[in-house]
Amino acid sequence: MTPPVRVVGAGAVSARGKSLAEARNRPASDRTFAGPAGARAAYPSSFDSRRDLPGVPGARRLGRQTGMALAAALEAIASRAPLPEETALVLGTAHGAVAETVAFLDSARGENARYASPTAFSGSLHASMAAPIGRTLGIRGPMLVVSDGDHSFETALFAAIQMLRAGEAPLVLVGACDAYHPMTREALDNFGAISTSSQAIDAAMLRTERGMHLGEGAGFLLLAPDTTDGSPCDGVGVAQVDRVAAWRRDRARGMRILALADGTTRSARLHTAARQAHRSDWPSDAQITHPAANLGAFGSLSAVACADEADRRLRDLGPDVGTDSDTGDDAGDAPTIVLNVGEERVTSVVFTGRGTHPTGAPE
Amino acid sequence: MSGPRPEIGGVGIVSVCGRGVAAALACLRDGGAPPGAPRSIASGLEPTPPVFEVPDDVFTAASETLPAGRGRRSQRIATLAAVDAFAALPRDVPAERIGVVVGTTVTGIRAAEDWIDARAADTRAADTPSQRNRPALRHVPLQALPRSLARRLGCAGPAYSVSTACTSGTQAIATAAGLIDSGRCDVVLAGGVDSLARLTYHGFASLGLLAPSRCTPFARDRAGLNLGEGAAFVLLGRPGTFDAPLARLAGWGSTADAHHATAPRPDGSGVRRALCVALNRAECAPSDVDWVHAHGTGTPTNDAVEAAAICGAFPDGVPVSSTKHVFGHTLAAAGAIATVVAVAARSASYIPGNALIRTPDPAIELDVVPPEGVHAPVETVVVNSLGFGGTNCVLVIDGGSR
Repeated sequence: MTPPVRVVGAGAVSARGKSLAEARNRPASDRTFAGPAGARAAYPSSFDSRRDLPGVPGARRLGRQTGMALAAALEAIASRAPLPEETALVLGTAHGAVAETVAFLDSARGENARYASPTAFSGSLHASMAAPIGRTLGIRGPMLVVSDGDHSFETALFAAIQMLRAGEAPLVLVGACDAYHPMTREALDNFGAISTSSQAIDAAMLRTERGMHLGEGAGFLLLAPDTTDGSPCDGVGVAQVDRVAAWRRDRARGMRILALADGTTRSARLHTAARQAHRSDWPSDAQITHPAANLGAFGSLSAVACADEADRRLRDLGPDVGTDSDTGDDAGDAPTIVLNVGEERVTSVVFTGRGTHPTGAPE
Repeated sequence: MSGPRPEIGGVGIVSVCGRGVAAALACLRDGGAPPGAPRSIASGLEPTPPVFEVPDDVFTAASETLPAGRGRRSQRIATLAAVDAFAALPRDVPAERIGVVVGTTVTGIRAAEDWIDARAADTRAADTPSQRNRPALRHVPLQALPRSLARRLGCAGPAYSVSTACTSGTQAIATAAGLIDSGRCDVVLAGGVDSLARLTYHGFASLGLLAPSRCTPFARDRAGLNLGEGAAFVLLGRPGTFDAPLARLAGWGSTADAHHATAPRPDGSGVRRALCVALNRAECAPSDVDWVHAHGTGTPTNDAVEAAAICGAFPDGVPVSSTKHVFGHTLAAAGAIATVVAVAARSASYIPGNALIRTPDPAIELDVVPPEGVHAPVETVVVNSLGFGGTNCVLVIDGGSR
C-alpha cells in the first residue's frame, strides 16, 4: 500500500452537476437519462464551456472535455488558490480528445487534406487537455498525462503521490476526464458492451449482464504532503493500492465501499469474484454503493467518485481535527474504499479521515 | 531525489535506419538516407512533405511473430524495440515487479482513421467495412499497446501509456524511474513509439511545420521538421539489478510552460528550468556534461527557444546536436530514441553530429557538433525534449561514477 498523502481540495463535473456543490443539492433520486430514447441511452452532463467557465480567458474555444476538466480543477483548488508555480499537474484519460480527433479527421478526409483544421489538430492530443489547465492556473511544475483505460485516474494518482513523496512538487493537482461521444458509444457497442435496456441503471442491473450506460465527467483532487511533525492536519488521507487493504475488522466498522461496476458482464462477474476474494477483509456492516447508478459508466468514473468522497470528508472535518481533543476514534474515521474492477485487474483508492497513516493498517 | 538512481540494463531501437543500435550508429556516422514520400499512408498533399519511414524489411527480417494488420504498425515497431531491450532482463525478477510504461501519441490511430472513414462512406448494411473493421478497434485506445507488450513479455506489474506529445518518451522513462523509486517495481521497460499516421501528417502540415526537404536544425534557413516513425526502449532497474549496466539514469526534470497550445514559452524559461532540475537531481555541474542531445526539430520557434534555454543553463558552452535529420521527428518516440542514442554514444565514444548548417543563425549561439560527429569519450549526456502544450522533459544519462 502506498503511504497516504492529504487531499486538501476536490472538484468534479458529471451528470449529477457541473460542480460538486451543484451535485450535493440534487436529490439522489433525480437521474439524468438522456440521449436517444430507450436503448443506447447515456448520462451526459449539461456542461458547456462557454457558459460554465465565466471569467476564464479563452473558455469559448475549449472543447467540452477540456472545459469539464478545467471546471473540476478550478473547484478543487478554490480553497488554496493561487497555487505555487511549482505545482504539478497529473491527468488521466481513457479515450483522450475524441471529439477533436474526429473533427480533425473529418476535416482532412480525401482531397480536403490541405484544408485540415490546425485548431482541431492541436486539440486532438491527449496533452491538449492539460495545457489549458496549467495555463489558467499558472502552474509550471511537472505535467503528466497518462492513459490506462478504466484505471487512468488510479494510475495518475499513483504517479501524483510518488511526485509528492519524491519532493518533485509542493502540491499536485491530479484528476481524470472523459467526455461522452457517439463514436465512443458506437465503438463500445461493436463489442456488445452497451446496454440495450431503456431502464436507468440500478443496483440490480449492475450485477447482471445488461451492459453499460455511458456517462462522462471529470474529477480532480488537490494533494499535499502528509504531515509527519504532529502539526494539525487539514485534509483527508488517500492512498492507492493494488488490492483491497486487509483492514482489522474492529477498526473498519462502518466501512464504505464505492463499487465501480459498469453494468457489463465482465464487470459483474469480476465484482462478484472480488467480493468473494476479499470477503474476510470486509466487516459485514460495510455499506456498498454504486456511483455508476447515478453517473453512468466511463473511463474517469473513479475520479468523480473519489472527488465526491473527498469532498464529503472535507466538509465533515470538524474544528477539533488534529488537536488534543481529537482521539481519532470517531466512527466517522472508518475508511472508504473506491473499488474499481477493470478488464484485467482491480484497483482501489482508500480514504481515511485524518490524513495520517491509519491504525490497523494493511498487512 | 529520494533514492538511488536507476540503471539502464538494456536498450532497443527501431527507426528508418533499421533495427538495433548498430544500424542507428551507422546511419548517424554516414548521415543516413534523405527522407522520402510516405509509403504507408496516403499523403493527399502536393507537394508532398517527405518523411522518415521504417523500411518494410525490418518486419520481414524479424524472427519474432509480429501483430498483423494495417492498424497495428505501431505495435509491430514497438514490439521489436521492446524485445531487444527486454533481452537484458535478469532471470530472478518476479513478473509482478516488472512494469511497462510507453510514451505514445497516435498508437492505434490508423484503425480509428480507417473506421471513421468507412463509417462516413457506408450505409447501415450489416456486412460493411465499418463492421469488418471492428476487431481492430480493440487496439485504438492508448493503453492497448503497453498491455500488449506486458502480456507478450510476461510482465505483471503496472502497464500504461504516457501521452504528453513530443515529450512522451522521456516522460515515460522519468515516470518509470518513479515506479522504481516508489518501490512498486524493480524493473521497468520504458520508452516511446509512434508510427506515421494521417492524423499527425496532416496535422503538422496544417500548422505549416513540415519541411519541404531534409530538416536543418538550428540553421538560419531552417524550414520545419520531417516526420518520422520509430520506437526505442530502455530497461531500467534499481542499482545492482544488472551484471553489466550500460548506463545510469542520473537525473530528470519535467516542467510546463503554461503558455500556448503549441508554441513554447519564447524566453525558454520552461526548458531551462527542466534542464536545471535534471542537472541538480543528477548532482551534475554544467561543466560535467559532454553532450546535449537536443530536441532540435528544425522549426523556427523550437530551435530558437531551445537554444536560448541551453545557453542559459550552460553559460560556458557545451557540444550540442540534433539527430532529427537522420531519424526524423518521431514524436512520442523522439525522446526515447535520443536516450538510446545517448547510451550508444557513451559506449561508442562518439558524439553524433548535427545536420550541415550552411547559413548559421546569428541568434543561435550554440556549439553545434559538425555533421561528421566527434570521436571522444562521452560520460554524461543531457537529453532534451519539448512538446505541444508546453511540456518539457530533460534526462541526464551517465555511467554512474558520480
